Amino acid sequence: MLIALATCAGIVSIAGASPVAVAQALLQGATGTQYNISNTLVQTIPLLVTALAVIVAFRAEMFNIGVEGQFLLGAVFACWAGQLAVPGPVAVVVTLLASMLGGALWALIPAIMLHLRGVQIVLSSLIMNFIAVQVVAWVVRGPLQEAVREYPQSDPIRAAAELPKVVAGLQLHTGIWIALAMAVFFDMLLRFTVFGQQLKAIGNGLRASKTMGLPVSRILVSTVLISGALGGLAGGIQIAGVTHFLADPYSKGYGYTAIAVALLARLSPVGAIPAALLFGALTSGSSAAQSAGIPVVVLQVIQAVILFSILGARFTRTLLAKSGVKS
Amino acid sequence: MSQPVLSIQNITKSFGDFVALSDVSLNLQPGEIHAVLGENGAGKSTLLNILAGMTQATSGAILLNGAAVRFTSAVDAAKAGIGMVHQHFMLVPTLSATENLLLADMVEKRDWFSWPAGNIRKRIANQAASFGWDVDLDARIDTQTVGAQQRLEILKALQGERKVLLLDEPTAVLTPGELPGFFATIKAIAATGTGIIIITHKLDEVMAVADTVTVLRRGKVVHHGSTAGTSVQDLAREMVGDASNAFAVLTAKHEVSQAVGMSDVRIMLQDAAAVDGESVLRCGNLAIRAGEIFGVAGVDGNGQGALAALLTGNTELGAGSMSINGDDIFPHQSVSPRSFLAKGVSYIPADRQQDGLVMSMSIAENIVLDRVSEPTFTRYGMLLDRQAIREFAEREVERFDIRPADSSRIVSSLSGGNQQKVVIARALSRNPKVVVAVNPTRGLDVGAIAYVHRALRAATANGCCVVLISTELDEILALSDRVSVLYDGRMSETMPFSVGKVELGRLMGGTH
Amino acid sequence: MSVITDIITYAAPVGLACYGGLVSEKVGIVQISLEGMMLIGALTAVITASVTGYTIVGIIAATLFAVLTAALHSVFTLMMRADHVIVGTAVNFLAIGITGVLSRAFQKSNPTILKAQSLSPIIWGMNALTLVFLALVPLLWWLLYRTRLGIGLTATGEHPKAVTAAGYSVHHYRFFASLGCGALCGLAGASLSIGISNNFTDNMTASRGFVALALIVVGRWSPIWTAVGTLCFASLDVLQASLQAGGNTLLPYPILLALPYILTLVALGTAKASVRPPKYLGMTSDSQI
Repeated sequence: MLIALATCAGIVSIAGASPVAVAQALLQGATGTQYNISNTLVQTIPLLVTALAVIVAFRAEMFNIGVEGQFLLGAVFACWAGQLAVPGPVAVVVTLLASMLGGALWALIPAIMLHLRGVQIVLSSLIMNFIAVQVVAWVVRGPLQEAVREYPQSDPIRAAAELPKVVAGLQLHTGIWIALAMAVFFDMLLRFTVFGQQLKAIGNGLRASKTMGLPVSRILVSTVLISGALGGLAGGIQIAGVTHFLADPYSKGYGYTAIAVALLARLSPVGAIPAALLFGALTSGSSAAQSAGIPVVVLQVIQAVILFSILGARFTRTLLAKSGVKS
Repeated sequence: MSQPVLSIQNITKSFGDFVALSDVSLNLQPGEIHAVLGENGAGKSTLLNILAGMTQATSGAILLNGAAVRFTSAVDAAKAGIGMVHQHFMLVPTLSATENLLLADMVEKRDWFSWPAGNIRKRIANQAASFGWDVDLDARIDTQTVGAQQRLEILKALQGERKVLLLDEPTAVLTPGELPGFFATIKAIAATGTGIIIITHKLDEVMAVADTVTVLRRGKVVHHGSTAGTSVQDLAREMVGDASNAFAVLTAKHEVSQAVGMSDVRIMLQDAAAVDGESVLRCGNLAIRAGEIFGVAGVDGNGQGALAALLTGNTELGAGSMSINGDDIFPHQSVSPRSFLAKGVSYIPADRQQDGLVMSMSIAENIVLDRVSEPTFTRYGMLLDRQAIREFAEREVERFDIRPADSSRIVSSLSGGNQQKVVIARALSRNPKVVVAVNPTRGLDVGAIAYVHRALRAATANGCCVVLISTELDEILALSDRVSVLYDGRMSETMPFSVGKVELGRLMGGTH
Repeated sequence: MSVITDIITYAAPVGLACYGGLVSEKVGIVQISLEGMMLIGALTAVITASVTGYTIVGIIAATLFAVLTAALHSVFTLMMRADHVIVGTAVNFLAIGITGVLSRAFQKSNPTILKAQSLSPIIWGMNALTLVFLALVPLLWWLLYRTRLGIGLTATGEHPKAVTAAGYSVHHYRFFASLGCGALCGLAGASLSIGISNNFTDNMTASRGFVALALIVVGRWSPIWTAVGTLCFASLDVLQASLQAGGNTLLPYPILLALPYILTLVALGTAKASVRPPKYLGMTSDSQI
């Protein structure tokens, strides 16, 4: 971790700012005022849910890099569903369910390609991401475009379909409870259910699982779909809770950041909560710090450095363990 | 007596506590064809690996043309003039023969961009012609027959000045029709003055082509002499040793199985053919009854993998007919291990760490690996009933005396014997109708072996039948009611266990 | 005619990156980081070219820095034996971040630095790097299929044991291929920034690196087919650009943009089952000595 910090500091200084000032600004931006804290949490929500998507798939040794695309499709479906004339209290539920459907459908194609042709999830879901971006672009200029047809964006969803705010006047919305609930739910799913156990077996011993009769194909496909649904849910929550309408471009790369979050969380759904929080804080802190002259893109660098230090730490740990055994 | 081209003196090789080779010596004259014979685990491959430079002896000396040599790598040995034809070819499958030879053609200075393909082709073609071979040098390796591949591997090993040629189970991959040509080749190579060492378990080939033979048993030389002065029977006896049974004799076993008698045939194979990776079953014939232990003997690599995979749903039936527990299986019908489990087939696989266990999970998790979805182990259909699982696992741990007796222990921390017990516990605890066990006591100590045998025998008391596929002849004889021998993918006719070791050893070596 | 040279020019960045990934995957290393290395190459090219005034310096510098990035990737994948995909993703993050930071920093202090000299067209309107790409099509084929080096590279990915048995070092091959990949990606990035556009914009590679990755699979790990795939993709790209300019009403614009990707996906899915990647792709952990 120390190396990580030092590297970050180094890069920041190159960019022409003092590292200390940056750190201060970030901290302030993340936690300084009530507004900032709520912003941090708002940023955390999509990161958490998308990280869960990545975690579930990764537990089965599948690299679902397509969470980004599933997120977008979830947003699209949510936007559409959010405009339907559905009775009040049900509206939010319908919207979110639609978003999960959208995400799962988007993950269906890579899942089918894996099952029928053995195409790796990494490749197929990656390409689906690019297509998803265009789908959003098309949808907001076409079917879902606002009635006035002025900008490439959709009409807002009905008020009934919005996620209510937790505290009036702040950005923070009830999506946070959903996200936290999901984290806990999936943690329990992985630990306490039959499915979770089967997933664990497949992720840890694919050959043995196959030879000993586990329904491997079925479980892998289901996992991809669940992962997709989670990604879609993240998109839906974003629509219903934050933006309330769809625009082009929509995502801030949550699907990709989610990978770093998932790894930092050591693939534990509950661990994803603090990990997502960290990244959420970095994001909101840096957007606030921007006014202090710090580029937002520093975030990416920090992410990368964190990832590298995780990998390096893992390696040194195994190295130490090995030499420990020898001596 | 001219000086031997290769002299192996008092070679000993240990891997930790395990002694693979003990005080092995032999001399090889130029132009001599010397066969090294032995069962699995006798130490043949280890000896070869030492000669080819892939591993080093713990003690002893190797002299090449009188000069002591020490090889630190395969390349060293090759440069010194020792060529090796491996059992698993070192040919890159997607390249052609010429290209493979270009790779193997050791260059002193690394000329990366040279492409003397023309020269190499001509040289190899000439050599092949001198053996009377018809080889395709331009087709991809993986499009050629195994016999053709082997010829190319031999050609590869002959490049450069070869004083000694080592061959590891060379005829393992040839059809009977290809054998005469192969023998002629070996003799031709020997005629040029190269000394040849062949590792094999096939007795008739030893008699057909070798000048001298050394028999290894459990790492020691037990026989050495010219082939003229011995016979297949003698060699068979030397290979398998006396009939002293190392395993606990289980009393009353045969009376029990006799009593079950003519009950339904549980497994039937007729002219069955199947393929599982590199293992090929060409013709399988058996009819196994309930309550019976059926032993399939044979040296490793003669189709055991394919037979096991076929019987457990891991590979489909290629040809012939098959029926398990009354269910008919048709050729090319898609099967899965899951469906066979449902038919009541339990599998104790050969490779327990890859195919039998998820090493990073606990004993309990492994015992219920495929059964977690059953009502016994779940609550409300979806949640794991960890209590039930633990209780079940603990019962099995006690029943099979798995140590340490803690069902939450991670399997990778267990000894090999205890790991195998976990696999067996899982297989037997579901009251199967059929158990397919492949080398179930590999790597286990005597106590564990006795335990496994008792467990397998006890399972038959419930009408379960056991297919025991094992490379250990003693084990086959100790447990089986009836036996068959697998050789080159074909099963011999079924015989009662009383047919005896020497006869089985003979069949394992391929003579009819 | 100009359409054809346009297509080739647009194909060059993707194609060069594709070849980089190809060389790497041939020895068994998965290269998710093509995108990142391209970006680094692009930025470096622009900056050094405008600072020194010579585009050739830009090209060299781009290659150099991309190779450094590849070395970083190798440290983690080959030495620390970490998962290729994770390391590749991390490299991408790093690249996006660093290039973003640096480009913004320069934007503020010295904007003109980001507007570089562009490569002058040499033949038929194609610049030097495009020509390099064209030359590589037969050259890489020759290298892979008609030299000992190429055989060694292929063998490393298909049957590492045979390579060791023949006396060569699998590690050397892998390292070399990895660095070669970096060099090619650097060239790819340079061809984008000083070849096509004359500047550096944020994230200008626009996921071309990932497209290149998919094209390797579609192209069955063969230089010729990969080139074909790249040209097809580039044609679609040029097609949609001209349709857009011509004000088409046939297909909605975003669908047009998505078309190349959709077709790539279809190509991936319909690839014959017999097409298979190098056997040891992704498996560079210790047992393969």
